[in-house]
Amino acid sequence: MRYVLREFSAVPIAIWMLWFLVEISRLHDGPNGYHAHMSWAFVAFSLVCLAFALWHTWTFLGFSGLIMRIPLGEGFVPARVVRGGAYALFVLVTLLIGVLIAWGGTR
Amino acid sequence: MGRHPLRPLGPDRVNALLWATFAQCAVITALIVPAHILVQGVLAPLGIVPAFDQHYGSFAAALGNPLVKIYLIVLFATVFYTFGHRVRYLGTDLVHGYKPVFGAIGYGLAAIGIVAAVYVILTLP
Repeated sequence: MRYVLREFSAVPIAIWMLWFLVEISRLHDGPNGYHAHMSWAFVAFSLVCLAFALWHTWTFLGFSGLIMRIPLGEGFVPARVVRGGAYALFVLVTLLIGVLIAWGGTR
Repeated sequence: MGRHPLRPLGPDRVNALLWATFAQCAVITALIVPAHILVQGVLAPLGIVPAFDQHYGSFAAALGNPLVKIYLIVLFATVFYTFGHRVRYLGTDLVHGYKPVFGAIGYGLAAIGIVAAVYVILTLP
């Protein structure tokens, strides 16, 4: 079940990105034809997609400790350290992208 | 002889390339996409934070930047490729014996999505 959910997570993520692409294409309509989605239905749809996106992040970055073998002296960096670094990078990237998206909205 | 044609001996370079591409695309998707969905799909519509796609002016200005266009094309390509690859293997695992069909469906949809994204983004004023 976890495997199917993990693989299926790509579908809602792709659907959300497809919506984003449609939103970009609506820029062709000009300033009078463009309206951002603000409805509760859209927020609910995004929350479902966000849950799947976070599941993809959690499971895929969880593999990093197994896949990335970083030499350290006679052995390797412990898997949990690599995994922790991947999750820390995710938090950092999320903050950076989030700030950039919000900053773009103030201009 | 079996029903399946024999593959030449040696490493399966095509599959290795498909899997290596998937690994890169899935990592980029894992790191970047949740921030977009969280801010553009949840926080901005609720009025908690602004977002560049909430108004035509800021959205068009952002999309007018070549770096943003490149970033978005890479983002769409990685997400759609990850989708295509996972559709291929999820379909293959759930319905045994139809690997080429699901490969064609998955990668075909991914290719259509990537071409559409490139077209939409590059034809913006």
